[in-house]
Amino acid sequence: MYSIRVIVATAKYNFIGFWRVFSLSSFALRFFMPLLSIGTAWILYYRVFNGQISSEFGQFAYTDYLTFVILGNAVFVYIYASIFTTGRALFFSRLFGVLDCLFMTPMPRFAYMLGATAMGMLNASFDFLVLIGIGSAFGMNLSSINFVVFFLGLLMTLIALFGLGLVVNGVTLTLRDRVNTSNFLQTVLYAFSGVVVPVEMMPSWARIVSMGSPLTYGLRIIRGSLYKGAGISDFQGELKVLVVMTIILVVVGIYFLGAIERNLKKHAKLAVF
Amino acid sequence: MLPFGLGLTYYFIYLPFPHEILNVQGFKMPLLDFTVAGQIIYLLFVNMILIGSYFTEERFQGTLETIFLTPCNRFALLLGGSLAGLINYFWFILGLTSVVFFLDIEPKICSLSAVFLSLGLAVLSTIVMGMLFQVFFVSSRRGNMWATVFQEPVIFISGIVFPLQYAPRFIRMLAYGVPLSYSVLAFRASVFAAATVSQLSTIFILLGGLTISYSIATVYCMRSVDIKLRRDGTLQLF
Repeated sequence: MYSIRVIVATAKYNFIGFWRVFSLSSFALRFFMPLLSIGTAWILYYRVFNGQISSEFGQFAYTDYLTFVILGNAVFVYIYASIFTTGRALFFSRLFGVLDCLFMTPMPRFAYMLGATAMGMLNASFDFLVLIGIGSAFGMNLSSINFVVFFLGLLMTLIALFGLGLVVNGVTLTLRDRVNTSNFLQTVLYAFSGVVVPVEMMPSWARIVSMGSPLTYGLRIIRGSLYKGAGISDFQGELKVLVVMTIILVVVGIYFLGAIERNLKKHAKLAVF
Repeated sequence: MLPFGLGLTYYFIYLPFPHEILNVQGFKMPLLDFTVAGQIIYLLFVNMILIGSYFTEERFQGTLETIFLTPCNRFALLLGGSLAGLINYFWFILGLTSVVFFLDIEPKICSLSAVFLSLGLAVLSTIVMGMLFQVFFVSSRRGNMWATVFQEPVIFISGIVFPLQYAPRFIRMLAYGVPLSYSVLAFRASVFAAATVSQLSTIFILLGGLTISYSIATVYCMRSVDIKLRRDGTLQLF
C-alpha cells in the first residue's frame, strides 16, 4: 500500500512538473523522427517504387508496408519514455538538487522509479495515439487486429522497456550524462529493432545486434496481432524472450540503483555534480 | 552517433523494395553509394549548424560581450567558427572512410575536376550556412533547440534519403533554396555516377549563386544583429 502511495505521488509530481512548464518545442521534437520516417516510407512506397514491394517482405511483416512502418514508429515513442524519462529520472533529481532528499526519504526506490515511469508512459501513450491517428490518414490498416495479442504484446514491451529505463538511469546517474547515453541508445534501438524493416531482411550482422533489443520481440508480437487468425500461441517464443529480458533488465537496474546509492552515500557525493 | 544511426535507418528503410540501382535526378547509382554520399555531406552540414552553439557557451560563460567589443571583422569571426566546425568534421570523415573500406564501396569517378568542384562548393556553401546559423545563435537564446530542430527536416527536403525528383511539389520548392540539395547531388553524381563538369554545370552555377546570396545575407544579418543587440543592451542577457 505504501509503495502505491509512492508511485501515485511520484507520478503526480512528474505530471504537474511536465504540464506546468509545458514546452511546445520539446513536444513537437518528439514527433520529428517518427513523422519523417513515416513520410519517407510513404514517398518510397508510392512515388519511388510505385507500390512494388519485395515478395520477401510479406513473409516476415504480418502487415502491409505502410502499416508496418507506422506501427513500428508509433510503438517506438515508448522508447523515448523509457530512455529519456525513466532513464534520466535521478539524473534530473541531482541536477535540481533534490537527489539527497530523495535518497533520505524512507521509500522503496523501485516504487519511485515506477512512479516516474508512469508519467513518461502516459505521455508516450498520448503520442502513440496521435501517431496512430496520423497513420490512419496515411492508410494504416488495423481491420483484423486481435486486441488480446496487441495489448499483451504492448504491455510486455512496456515492462521490458521499464527495465531498460532502470539500467539507463543507473548509467546516466553514474556518468552525470544528460544526453549522450540516451541519444546513443535511442538511435541504436531505432535502427536495429525492426522499426522500418523486418529484422529478417537486415544484413546478418544487424540481425545479431537486433537480438539484444526488447523492442524487436515486442514489435513482432504487436504487428503479429494484425495478422488474420493470429493468437497468443503463435508468439510464445517472443513472449518468453521478453520475459527473460525483462527479468534481467529489472534485476540489473535495481541492483545498479542500490549499488549507486550505497556508493554515493559512502563517499558523500549524492549532490555533487 | 545520431547522423550515423539515421544513415543506417534510412539505408534499412529501402530494404523491403527492389532497390539495386537508384535513379538520382538522372544519375544512376547503387543504394549503398547513394546513402554513404548523402551522409558524408549531411554530416558536414550537421557540424556546421552545431558550431553556432559556441556562441551560446560564450553567452553562458559571460564572455560574449568581450568578443563583440573586440574591434575585429565580424565576418572573420564567423568564418573562424565555421572553420573550427570543418576541422571537427574530419573526425567524422575518418569514420565514414573506414565504413567505405569496410563495405568495399568503389567510387566511379570520371572527372577529378568535377569531384573537386563539387567538394569545394559543398564545403564553401556549408561554411556559409554555418556562419548564418552562428548569427542566429547570437540573436536567439534558443539556438541549441533550433539547431536540433533543423537537423532532421533538412534530410527530408534536400534529397538525402530519397531522390528529390520523387518528392511532392512543395518539398521540391523548398529544396530549391537549400544549398545542401545541390551539393549532395553534385557530390553523389561526381563520385558515384562518373558525372563530368559539363553534366553538372547547372548545379554548380546554382550552388555558387546560392552560396554568394547566403554570404550577402550573412553579412547583412550579422550587422543588423550586432547593431540591435548593442542598441537594446541585450548582448549578454540570457
